Amino acid sequence: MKKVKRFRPLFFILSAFFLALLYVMPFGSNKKDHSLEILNPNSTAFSLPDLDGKVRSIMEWDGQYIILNFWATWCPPCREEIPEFISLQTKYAQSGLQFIGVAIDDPIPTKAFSQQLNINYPILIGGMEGITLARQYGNLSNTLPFSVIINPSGNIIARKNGVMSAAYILEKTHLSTN
Amino acid sequence: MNIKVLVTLFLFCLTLVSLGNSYASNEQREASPTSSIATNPLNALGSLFAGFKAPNDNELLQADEAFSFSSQLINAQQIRLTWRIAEGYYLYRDKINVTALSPKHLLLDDIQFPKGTLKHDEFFGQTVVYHADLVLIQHITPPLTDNDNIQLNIAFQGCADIGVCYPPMSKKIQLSLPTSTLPTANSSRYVSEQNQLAQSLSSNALWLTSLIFLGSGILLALTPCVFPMIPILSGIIIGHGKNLSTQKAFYLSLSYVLASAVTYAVFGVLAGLFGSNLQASFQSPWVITAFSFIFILLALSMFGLYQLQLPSAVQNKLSQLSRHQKHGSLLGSAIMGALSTLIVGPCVAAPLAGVLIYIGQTGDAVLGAFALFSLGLGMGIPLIIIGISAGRLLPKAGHWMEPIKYLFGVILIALAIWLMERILPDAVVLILWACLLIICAVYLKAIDRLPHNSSGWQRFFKGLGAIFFIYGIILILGAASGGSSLLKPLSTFNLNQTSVAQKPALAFQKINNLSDLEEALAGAKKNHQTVMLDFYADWCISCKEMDAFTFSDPQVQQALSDMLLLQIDVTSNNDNDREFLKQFSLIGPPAILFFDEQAKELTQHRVIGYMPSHDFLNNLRVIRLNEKG
Repeated sequence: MKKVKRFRPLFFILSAFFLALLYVMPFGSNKKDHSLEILNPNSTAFSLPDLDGKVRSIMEWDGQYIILNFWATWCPPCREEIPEFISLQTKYAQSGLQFIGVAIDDPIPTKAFSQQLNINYPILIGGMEGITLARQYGNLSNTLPFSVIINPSGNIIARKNGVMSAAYILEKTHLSTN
Repeated sequence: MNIKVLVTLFLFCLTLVSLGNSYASNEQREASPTSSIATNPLNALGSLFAGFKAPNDNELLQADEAFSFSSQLINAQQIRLTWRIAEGYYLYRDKINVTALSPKHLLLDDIQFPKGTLKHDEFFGQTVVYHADLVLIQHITPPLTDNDNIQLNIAFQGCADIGVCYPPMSKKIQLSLPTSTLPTANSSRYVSEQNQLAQSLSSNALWLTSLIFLGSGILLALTPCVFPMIPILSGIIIGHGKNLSTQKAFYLSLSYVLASAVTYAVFGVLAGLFGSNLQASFQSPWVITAFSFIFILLALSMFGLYQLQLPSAVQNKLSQLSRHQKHGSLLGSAIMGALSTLIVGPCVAAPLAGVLIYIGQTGDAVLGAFALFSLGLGMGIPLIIIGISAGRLLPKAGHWMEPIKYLFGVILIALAIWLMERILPDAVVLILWACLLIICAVYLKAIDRLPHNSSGWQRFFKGLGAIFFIYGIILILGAASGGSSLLKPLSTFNLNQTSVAQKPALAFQKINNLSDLEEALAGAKKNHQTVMLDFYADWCISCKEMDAFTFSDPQVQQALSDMLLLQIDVTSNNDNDREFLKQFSLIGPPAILFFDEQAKELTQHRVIGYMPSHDFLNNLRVIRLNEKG
């Protein structure tokens, strides 16, 4: 009997421990969710003005291998890859390859640059909103250059941040000069 | 006897509740992005061997991560613009452009650009680019006066070495001199808690101010903020040994509390004078580590591994100085009081913010010191009461004190782990808890064979020890599988976790820096949305209360449903966080700010500290009314 009495405080302490634990429990159920940003994988059709101010729709070039290249004059790596695009356009036009440039830029510098290099494929003026369009095509980092390859059935078969080499394009499209 | 039991019980409950908050903080961590990958067991394994993880397809940083921009007003004539440029990224000098938006007469002097590196460009020729950190100083004329508010636009553009570029970025910044943030014109409408404090201070005499703060201190003592101090003080008193008179206990408690109050006062004056967050800097890893170490040392002395006492030489000298050699222990108690304040006190940021703003406004450091001293004293009064009663009610002798002493030892270690939680990875913290549990279990004889004639209590303790032991093992398993929660260590094994996940309290959009905020505000402005910005930190107990009680209220959730909810986590309290807080003249979390549809901050509606859902709803209602009117 005496022994039990001595331990009474400890008994209370332990009951208190469990009570306190119960009190603490509800805190645990308070969880926060992290929703991932979901990108629309299906590219939407768009229309943008070209260098002459004429509104062009991407659907114009349906049925070909389209290299949609987002670029800008203020972006050195973008300017670097364009001469190669020009020569590929010449070489593979007959095989169904079509480059389309979307400039995240103002019309004046874009036009000057296009004339300087004699760009032989359509250049559309996207302005700063063009970066949103690039995002819809899967440009997660909003960087330039960004290119996508769209196959004749309208599916995106490749996306690339940074310079897209000729070898890469030919590998993805299986095109050859014939 | 009964009172004795009650006091011990009360004491113990308090400590547990205070520790309970640390469980909660652990649970909160699950929301952190690093642990969110641990939602399926494979990924959880992956995170154990993070080094082997397949590289992400999209390794490019977002523009704001690559070129993290911040600005700061150095003085009335100089603005510091800082870019933290990630490795492998660079900014073009020619593309950096600062323009004044308002006021119109503001003149921006030419910026002295640092040297940078030359980069050859086929089309543009040689261009200057900046890697790593770039700091520019923009001089303005005329100098800013108190009521000026300037708006600048900073444009810049950069690329990554791997051959991609980011579109031109622009950041709008709004700067004003930090003093006189008190809204005088519209204060009649609605005054936030913080400003209320500041206002009531400025209109009262010194003694009345002190009295008000003494009262607020006593009220504050009823919040969990003070709980972690109780085991520390009790540890000092109990650790003092058997022949403890009530008088001695009172002196010990008093010196602890006085030191704590003095620390508050000193801290208040210093923070007021230097305008920096001293208490937050005590959240630095070094200080936390040092303090945890002290706790562990104290705990070991509780376990009787050694006696804490001054070297005999010093002791002799002290006893020569004064007849009774009690000063040493009083001093020790005082030192603990001062340190405890700095470490466990940051959750009283709300009233502190009020006082500090007030000091900043008046420049009257003396009055501020008195206010903070009274506040600390008020907070300490319950501690003194507990101290005295513990001293009186503890018997002069008896070995029943030993288990209690061990218990405090365990609690001190738990406090040390709780502190270290802020700086250690979740898995390590979990392992530490596991170690504590298992070692306790062994001391409770969980793995010893019970003698045949053992009493009910011995069996009970063995059972308890076994529970501790098993839970410790579960924690180790949890830690090894990438779990981070103390209460649900094995949640990573639950395949359906995402589908059974409870409704989130509130879906906050996380922001990391001022530019994130500006971007989010710009978006909200476009959508005509009101914005709520919540400052959160793992170590902020009021923030947890807000989460658990206010934000979980369906009515509150309903009222917030059309607002853009932003949250910044300032747990790590790095430069970035500090700057963010400084930008809004805040001392620390908890703080909730609102921005109207024009992205202008509604300073009079700030919520500083915990606010129950009823008051919070009222605040929201007033915001809405003002917006319509």
